[in-house]
Amino acid sequence: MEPRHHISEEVLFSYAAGHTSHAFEVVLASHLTLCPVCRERMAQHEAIAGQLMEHEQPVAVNEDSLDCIFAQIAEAGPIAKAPKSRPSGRELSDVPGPLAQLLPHSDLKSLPWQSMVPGVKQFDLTPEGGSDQTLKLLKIAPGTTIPQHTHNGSELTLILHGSYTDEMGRFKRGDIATLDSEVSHQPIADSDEDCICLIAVDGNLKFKGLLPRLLQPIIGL
Amino acid sequence: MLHGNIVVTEKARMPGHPAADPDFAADMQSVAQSQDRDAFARLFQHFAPRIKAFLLKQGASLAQAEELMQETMVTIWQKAHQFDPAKARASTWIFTIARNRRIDRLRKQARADVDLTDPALVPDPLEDGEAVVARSEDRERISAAMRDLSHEQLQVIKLCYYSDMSHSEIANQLDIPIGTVKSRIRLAIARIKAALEDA
Ligand SMILES: [Zn+2]
Repeated sequence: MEPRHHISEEVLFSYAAGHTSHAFEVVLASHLTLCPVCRERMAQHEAIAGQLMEHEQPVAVNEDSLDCIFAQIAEAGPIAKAPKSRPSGRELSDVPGPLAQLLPHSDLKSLPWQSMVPGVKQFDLTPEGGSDQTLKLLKIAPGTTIPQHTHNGSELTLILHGSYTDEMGRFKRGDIATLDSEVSHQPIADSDEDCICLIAVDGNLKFKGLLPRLLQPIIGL
Repeated sequence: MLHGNIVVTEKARMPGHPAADPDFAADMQSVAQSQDRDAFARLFQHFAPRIKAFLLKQGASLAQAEELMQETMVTIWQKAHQFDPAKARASTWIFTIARNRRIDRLRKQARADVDLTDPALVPDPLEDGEAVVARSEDRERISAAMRDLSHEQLQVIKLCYYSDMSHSEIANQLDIPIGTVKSRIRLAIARIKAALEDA
């Protein structure tokens, strides 16, 4: 089934152009794996970028440019054609490849989850040296409410399992939410299964209200 | 090496090339199927100066732009068999290669991208032959629609692709309200989409 909540135009634009952080790319590529609609939108953005490149005023290349290129080709040796078949061992996975590559194994439920607050566990995937980016999986128990909060910078959330509901609607597998400082929401895991989502952030959540502010250092989203 | 620039220029002007193959799909296939160096030289002649210009616009120095352009051309040779003319124009595919080489240069992690052989992939809805033809016509309509954009629309679209500025930074740069930036982008994209839907 196709997702109903898609990548925003601004974010898609920036991903097509190659300007997003690695954490964002993992979430966006995972959504594209699950969403034929955004794959087609992405193809259109890339076609536009290709046209911009095509219409550039040509710039002189070095005189020996083509010779250098043929020399590099010769040095690299024969072309290894990538196998068309699927990599073995991943046949049964429902975890999108761009995420699966970062996990110790592809069974989301048995990852070494860390408890954050009652009802919420996390698995941190932030790359080393990713100073201003965060990438993590969250597992939210059925019925759990995340306190009302807004976001510093922007945040992408992709639902992989279960579902949640907030002010913007119901989010199920494959749906993606784009959140920024303008948006304040209070998501509730609303099905009888754990809600597992992949989150990329730059900046920390700013919680509203007293209790949530006390939670902030613990949740540290 | 035989392939100096002058030789290439003469080849490119021979009748039958490149006018007969304006989007270079046949040259791409000759490179993929028979490692055809003349076809590759024609691709180089057309695309290399444009790839270099594109990289310069994105802030690369002259030396970096030349080096990344050369790497991009090497990758085009090595991956030509992955190019599918039914899915994209050569310029689109070549743009994605240049983009990815640039990212590889800027940071440690390679670009995360969709793998169409991913077991988790939700496939495209089944398409009949007509839909496939319509899709390749779409690519033509995108380039036609791009030519019809206003100067202001093209300017913001270019800033979005060339720089990693946010919409508010673009507004500062052009000294216009952010709402104007957003609406120009929206109008430009709507115009391109309308051209696709008119068909
Ligand atoms: Zn989508």
